[in-house]
Amino acid sequence: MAIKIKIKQNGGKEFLIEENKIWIIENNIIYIEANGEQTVEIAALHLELDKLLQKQIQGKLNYLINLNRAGKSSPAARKVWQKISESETTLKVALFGVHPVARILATFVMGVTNKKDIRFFNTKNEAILWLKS
Amino acid sequence: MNKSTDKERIQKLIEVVMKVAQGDYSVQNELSENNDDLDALAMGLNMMIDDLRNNVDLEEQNKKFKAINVELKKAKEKAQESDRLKSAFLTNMSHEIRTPMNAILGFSAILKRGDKSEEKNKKYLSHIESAGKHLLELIEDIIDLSKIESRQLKINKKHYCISDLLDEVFEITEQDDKLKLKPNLKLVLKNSPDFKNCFIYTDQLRFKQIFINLIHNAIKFTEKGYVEVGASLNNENGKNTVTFYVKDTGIGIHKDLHEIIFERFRQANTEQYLEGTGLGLSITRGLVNKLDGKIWLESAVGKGTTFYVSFPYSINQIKPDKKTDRNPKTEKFQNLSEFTIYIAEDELVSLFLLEEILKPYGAKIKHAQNGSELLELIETEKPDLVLLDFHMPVMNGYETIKEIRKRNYTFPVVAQTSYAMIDDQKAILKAGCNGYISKPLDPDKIIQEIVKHLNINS
Repeated sequence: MAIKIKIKQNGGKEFLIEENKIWIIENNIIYIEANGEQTVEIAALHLELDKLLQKQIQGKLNYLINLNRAGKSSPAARKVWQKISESETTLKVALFGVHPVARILATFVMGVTNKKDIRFFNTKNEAILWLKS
Repeated sequence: MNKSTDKERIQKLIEVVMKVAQGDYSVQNELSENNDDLDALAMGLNMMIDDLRNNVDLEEQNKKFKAINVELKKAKEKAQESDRLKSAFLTNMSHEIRTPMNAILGFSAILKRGDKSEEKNKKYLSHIESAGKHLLELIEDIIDLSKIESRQLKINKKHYCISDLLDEVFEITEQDDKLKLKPNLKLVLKNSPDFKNCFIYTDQLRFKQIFINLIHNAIKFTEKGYVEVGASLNNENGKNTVTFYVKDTGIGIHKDLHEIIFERFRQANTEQYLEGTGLGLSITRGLVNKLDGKIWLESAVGKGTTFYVSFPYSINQIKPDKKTDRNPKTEKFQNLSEFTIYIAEDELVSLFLLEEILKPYGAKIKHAQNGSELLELIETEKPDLVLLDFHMPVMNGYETIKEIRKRNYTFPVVAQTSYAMIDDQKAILKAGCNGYISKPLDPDKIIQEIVKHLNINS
């Protein structure tokens, strides 16, 4: 079955890509709650959503990614995330998670990108503070 | 959920690592829902295994791409080489056509002026004839190559005596014009009584073509010394093989070129223009292959060249089908004044040529421009013979001959046509014609054919 971006009824600010939930918060922060394995198909839909949101949101986008319930990210999916994070329209990327698995996942994602403004935090609040700083 | 101890979980991680070490990248660690350090380690290992597998797949793909690239490069080089050779071929061909055309048009213009002696006129006509024959050979070479490459070359094999074949090839080639111009060059035949009882199963016409090509080449590239033609009998692995050879004391061929000279449009000397299209050896090899033989050469620059061609042979047990076909002799002069010949021909120049050929023999001639006109003529008066062109407007040759036979007319019809392929000849004869002559027309052959079908020679 083909995976699609689902726009939930919340003024166009909530989305669903497979198990991943996405919200626009603080005007320019795209908050992703990553759930389960992150395939290349899912990553590609995030890239598509990124392009869609660029039209809706003024200025550059920030990404806030919750890895607490995320599964592994395939090599091809990480390439797509590299593209999103290194995009000219992306300002900062903050990944967070409380447990060691989340840290490992974040390390692999951050490992493929040359972007400087990408960091891992233990809590959501720490991450948001950095994004807004 | 099966609650494994940390030790058991570590043991499982080790097992997975060992499988990966043995090249199995399909394995993955199971994660508990603890999200602890061991799960982090398992997750990390899983993603590293994915990366490894990805890299191996990429390497495999790279290998395939590299192999494809090598093939593409080869194909590109081949295409470029082919392009270059075709350009060289066109240049050569242009020269090969322009040279005889120069003689034909130039001497024709001089003849038109009409201010020369009869002796000189004959000389000019001889040049025109020679140039025309050269052009015809060129066309035949191209047709032969085309037939070989499209696997349409028809072979008519019979048993022939090796000694007779050698004699005939020698008789033909010792008349070579270039040989006559080289007083320091001798053509030598090494025939042997041993060959009298040996037979090869071959196509006589193509066999001769092979050796005439090789001998002409040898003469072309040898200024002094000799060109020797001969054969030797061998027995390899119980199989009798005759190896013919053409040996010369000419300029020789560098060993790097021994293979490529058999390719189309190639000549051994690529630096300077040499007469010829570069098709001869390609055709020769194609013919040898078609006759189930082998061709190879020994040569060194400055030391001459020997071409070898081998075929299987049999000894004394086969009666040859017939003596090899020598060149037909010209018939004695015939008086055709009692005969009416109709010519169906739409080309006025071709008609004029036929009329001029027939005029000295006194035949009554009537002309039709197409098949339909011919049938009208026949309705008023029956001819003794029809010379029928096949490429005509309104009603072509095939339609005409079919209609003639349908109306039960039994007079002989001889096709005179530019359709010169073997298949054309068969189709024309099958359609109901009694004889066939291909253009350009040889006046002697035309008369021979007419005489044959009018039954007046016996």
